[in-house]
Amino acid sequence: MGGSKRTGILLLLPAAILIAVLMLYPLGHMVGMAAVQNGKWVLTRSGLVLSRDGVFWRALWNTLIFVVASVTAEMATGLVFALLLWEGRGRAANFARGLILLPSMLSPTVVGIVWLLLFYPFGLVNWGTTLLGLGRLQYLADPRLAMASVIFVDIWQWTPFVFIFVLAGLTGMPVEPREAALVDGASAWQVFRYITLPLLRPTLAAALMFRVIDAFRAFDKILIMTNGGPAEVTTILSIYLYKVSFHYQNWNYGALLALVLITVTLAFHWTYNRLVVRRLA
Amino acid sequence: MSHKRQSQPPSRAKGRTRGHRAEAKISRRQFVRNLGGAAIAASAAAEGSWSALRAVAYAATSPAKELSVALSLGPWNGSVEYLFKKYGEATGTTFKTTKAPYIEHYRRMVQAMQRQDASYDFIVIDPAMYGTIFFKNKLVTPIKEIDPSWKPDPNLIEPHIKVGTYEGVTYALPIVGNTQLLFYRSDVTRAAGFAGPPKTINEMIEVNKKVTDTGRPFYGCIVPAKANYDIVYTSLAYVKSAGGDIFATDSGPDWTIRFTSPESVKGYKAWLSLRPWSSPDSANVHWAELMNYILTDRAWGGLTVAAQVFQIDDPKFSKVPGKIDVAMPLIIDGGSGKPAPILGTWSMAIPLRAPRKGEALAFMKWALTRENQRDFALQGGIAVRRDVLTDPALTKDPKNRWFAAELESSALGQLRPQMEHWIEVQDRMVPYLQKAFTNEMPLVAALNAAAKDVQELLDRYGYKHGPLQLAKE
Repeated sequence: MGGSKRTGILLLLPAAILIAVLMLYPLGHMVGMAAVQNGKWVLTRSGLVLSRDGVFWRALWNTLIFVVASVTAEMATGLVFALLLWEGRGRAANFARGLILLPSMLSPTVVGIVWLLLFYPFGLVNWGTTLLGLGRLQYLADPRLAMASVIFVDIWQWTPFVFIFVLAGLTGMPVEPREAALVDGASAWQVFRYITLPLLRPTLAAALMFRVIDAFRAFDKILIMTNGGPAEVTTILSIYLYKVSFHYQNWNYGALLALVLITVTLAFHWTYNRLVVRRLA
Repeated sequence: MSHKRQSQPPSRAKGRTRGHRAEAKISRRQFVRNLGGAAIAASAAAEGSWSALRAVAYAATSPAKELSVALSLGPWNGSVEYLFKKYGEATGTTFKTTKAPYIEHYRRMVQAMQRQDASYDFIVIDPAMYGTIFFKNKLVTPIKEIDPSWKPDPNLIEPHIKVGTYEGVTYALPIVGNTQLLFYRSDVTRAAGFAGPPKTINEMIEVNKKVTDTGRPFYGCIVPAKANYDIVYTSLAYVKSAGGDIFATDSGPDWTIRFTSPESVKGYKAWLSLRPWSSPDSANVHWAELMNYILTDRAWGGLTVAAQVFQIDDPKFSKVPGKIDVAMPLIIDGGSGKPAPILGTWSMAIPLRAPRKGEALAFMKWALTRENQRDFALQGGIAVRRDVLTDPALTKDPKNRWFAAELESSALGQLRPQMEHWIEVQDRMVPYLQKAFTNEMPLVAALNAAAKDVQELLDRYGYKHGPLQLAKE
């Protein structure tokens, strides 16, 4: 037993070292950067600055709006697409699956540039709305539309991720419970509500977790499309963190903001784990 | 090759005649001499400085006549690199260039200079934006420290020197005379019944009204107001022309906020008065998109940096080659009575630990001579010398029709605040200026809110200032 324990430790050691070097060291370094500057303890002072930093609070609020809105819509849309194409057969269904997956294969930078051009006053989107008699809208320049527009682009790009996740869950689902329910006279809605959805919960839970973590990290698309504007309505934490670190060269405060972002993400992860994942398990 | 031999130090030439490896990039003696710096490296390394080690490694391994240069990616790169090539042909010097996009270049340079990196012999920077970080902290070398006899050539346009000078000490010499110019459609202006470009804001409004009244989607003067520095940079030209400013002084020590003064409010109002004729997406437009509107025949013009001039006659970029002209920025009626173009000069500075300071300065001085600035201009560069921008042989060429405006604009060139935290101050102003621009907030309220934010920054970083005077309607 002792030998096998030792072997286990030995086998785990390379991975543990790799994690320590690649993850824990940079994380520790970041904590150090946030706490100490030129040999002086600055965390308390930085914390006070942070608590009074209006841009930070706006960015945090914008981040929460962005994450909640985009992930909710992605989950719903991904689920609908997966249900629609789940049992589809033939070339058309395969083509549709491939087409849906396409946006998630693009780099966020490319997505940002593509949508910047599409939202351009003379771009395709405004051409379409003009044809429909809605006129030209300033999707990225109007503070009332900018956040909705970047959320829409995120949904466009990441719905396929949820779609493929859910599709895999549906494909692996046992057919018997559904068949038995149908034989017993259950309606399609009842089958979905009481059979399919409960069986899909673990898959949805995992997809949701991945998406939330990823949405907290959203950055490149927004930077390209709006640079956090107009009037800071699309300044999310990652954009503010980037500006503080790379524009102002304030690495200490930037590291503190990164710690806040990580803490918020971990807090979500911990709560979600306790409330959802454990219950499912 | 003959140039190389002529310019080599005698010891090196002698070494070759003795049959030393002819193809070696540096002589043995040179190598040994370079290694002499190892003593410095050893002492610095003992203090934990990697940069000194890098300096010695670079100096010992790179060819004797190589200059390492860092550049920001920009439309002017080709003309600057032409100078490198020409200098190389004349002296045998080779140039190792490192390029990065604007923000990445800025980040690299600040970091490299802060850790006293010795990888670069000289760096090309945007001193109006971030030069003070280098100058104030003495991270780059004063020109006179390398050559005590150096004096600016009287033909160099003074504001371009001023932008690289801090507290009376010149740290950077100009290379690209980038300043603000009003790009506009000369044919459309004439067709609308105007003899020439507008000079004042009121004339601009008249032009806007006429040129947009054509029944096709065609905008007037585009006002770039994206959530970046363009909104501050562009509006500042109107503010300064109205007699306003950001702070009480451009270079300190009095950092009392002045963008809430009646003169500044007047300038911002003039800037906003152009909004009705600008493109509806102006709050997400920056200089490149502004130029795109003009080049694609969708707008009359706009105020942007002179560096864009290279596109105006090139059919690769322009749908209207030959129809775009340049003029001075607008005068705000009742203000200072003069236009106030904001400088965006690109300048050359020598890092504190540069391995070849003398050689770097020799190139910089060479690049600023009349003959070389003339060649630079012929390659599309924006010269920084008066005698080049007024050279009849050049100005008679229609493609150089912008020279007169560039000279006038440069001569009146205005500094941005010479403070270490200018970028951060701008970022504090951007959202409020955007709120005013998009009617989310009345202008005065936006300026006052920005002022409170900026004041908080000034206090945080310990800038001296007087009491905050809020703007009034």
